[in-house]
Amino acid sequence: MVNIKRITIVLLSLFFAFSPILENVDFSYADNTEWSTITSEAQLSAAMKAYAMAEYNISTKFAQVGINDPITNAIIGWSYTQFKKAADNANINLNALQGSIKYKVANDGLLQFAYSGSYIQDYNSLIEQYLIQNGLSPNDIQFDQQIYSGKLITDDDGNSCYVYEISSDATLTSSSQYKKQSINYISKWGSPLKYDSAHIYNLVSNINDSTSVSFNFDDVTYTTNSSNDWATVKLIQYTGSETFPVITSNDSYWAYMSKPLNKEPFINTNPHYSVFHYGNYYTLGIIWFNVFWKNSEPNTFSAKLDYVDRGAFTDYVNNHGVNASINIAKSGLKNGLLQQGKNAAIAVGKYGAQNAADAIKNYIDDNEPETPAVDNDVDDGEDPEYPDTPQPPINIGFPIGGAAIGNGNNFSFNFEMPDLSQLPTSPQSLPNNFSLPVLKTKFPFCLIYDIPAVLSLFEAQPQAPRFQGTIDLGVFNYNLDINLNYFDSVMVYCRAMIFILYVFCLIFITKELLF
Amino acid sequence: MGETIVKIIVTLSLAAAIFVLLPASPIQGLVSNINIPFVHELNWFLPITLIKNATLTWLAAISSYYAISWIMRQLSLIGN
Repeated sequence: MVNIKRITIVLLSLFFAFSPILENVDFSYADNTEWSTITSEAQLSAAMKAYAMAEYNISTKFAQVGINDPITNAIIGWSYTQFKKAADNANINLNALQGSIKYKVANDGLLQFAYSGSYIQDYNSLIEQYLIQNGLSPNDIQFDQQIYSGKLITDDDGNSCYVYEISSDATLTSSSQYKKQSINYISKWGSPLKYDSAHIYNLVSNINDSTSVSFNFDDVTYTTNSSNDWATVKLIQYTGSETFPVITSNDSYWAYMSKPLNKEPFINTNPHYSVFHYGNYYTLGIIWFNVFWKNSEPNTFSAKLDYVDRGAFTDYVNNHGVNASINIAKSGLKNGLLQQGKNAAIAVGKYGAQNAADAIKNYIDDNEPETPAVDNDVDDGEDPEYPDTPQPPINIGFPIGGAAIGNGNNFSFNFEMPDLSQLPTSPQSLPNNFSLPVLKTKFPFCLIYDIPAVLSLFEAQPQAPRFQGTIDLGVFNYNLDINLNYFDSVMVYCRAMIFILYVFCLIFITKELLF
Repeated sequence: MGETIVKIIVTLSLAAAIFVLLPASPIQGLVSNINIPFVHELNWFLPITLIKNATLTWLAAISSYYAISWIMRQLSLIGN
């Protein structure tokens, strides 16, 4: 007779074995390890870049409207300590992370002007000040988080932030002599937002060269290889009917990729959202980024940084930052982006050319000991210490190829935008800290964790065996090449059957063991 | 009462000290340096990942069984 109590025990055991509680203890060993590594790296990288960019771009602009709260106090939720902590947790060399490659300069330049960043500090008060001073209501700022598809990430301290997915790349190449000089580079850019259209304005009236433009959107690649064929890729040739005040030169390309907010049509006529312009006489960059408030709706800022090189190629320092502006994106506002400070007379900080990665590295190195973690929740009456704004400001987000700048102003940009598309789609899959990490490494408590580690040795991507060799037949050699990948489709079912058989074996073993 | 708390603190401290002195896992260090030849081909024949996960889950179930049955024996809810 079957023992009811024993059956109850077995059922209870199975329940616990398959329950999320035990799963979090570490039975999903490999998955959790992989997840945390990818997430930490992406999160760290994205947040770090946004940190530097915000430091660089916004602090001076906010000062112009009377907000003197240092950017490090006001906006940044991730102090260096938190970056470092995240890096350490993920076994990431923080310095090595900066300057790695995806957007590396190829020969004479690479442009990458969009960053994704996440902040976990609530700085509503700062935004409110800004808006009120400009006669606006803070209540106007509302965002539909779904549109942005931000990924909710929670760090070890329970702080939440959102990270965008990087989903778009674009390349622009050209074969004409002029453009070999001016845009014979690869410009790639990724955006935390998903574009709905892309525009390349060719300011040259007669285009005889073959220009190739390709944009990789979420799942569709648009490509054209013929001149004046912009429509193929939703690209529009500049006809002169549209007015862009800063562009008056011929022989220039001006491109921007647009992403609507709430799918409002304004973006197609708003060049201030995400722009790249490259040419002999004017070089304009607008960088933008996204800010997410802790426990609040995300918001978006775009910082416009103009670089007007008036043909001399040497006056970069003095001409940088003209027409700077900060745009606060407001959903539900039919006018689209709320542009504040547009065409401001006061330039954003002027600075010299500087390697962005080195600037960040120096900044972090200089500030590492003094930078505490930001305490968002406890108001103890004392302001935490923050690093001072570096001088000169960090040159990030506005890299220009050396050939165009010329005359000793060569500088490169070698920042990497992490592939945030690898982020897990479900925040619920966050591994919690239920297990005690130290138990995993201390003998004899580690033995339970050694079992999956050893078994993982045998895990690999299935690959069909291939036998290659040469048979010497005396008269000639026969090359033998037997590749079993012909049976790949069959082996899928074979493996499934083997697994089912294995499960049945376990069932019988369980029966022998327990009953 | 106070003496009991002191004993607990001392015991925990001692346990923590001993825990620090425990050696590191001898296996995990080895595992990270091992490359098994033909492991891809092996996975072509056998669903190693599935088998591993099933085995671990099954081991968890069996362990839970013995743990729960031990507890219930201690509570005299079941016999030997």
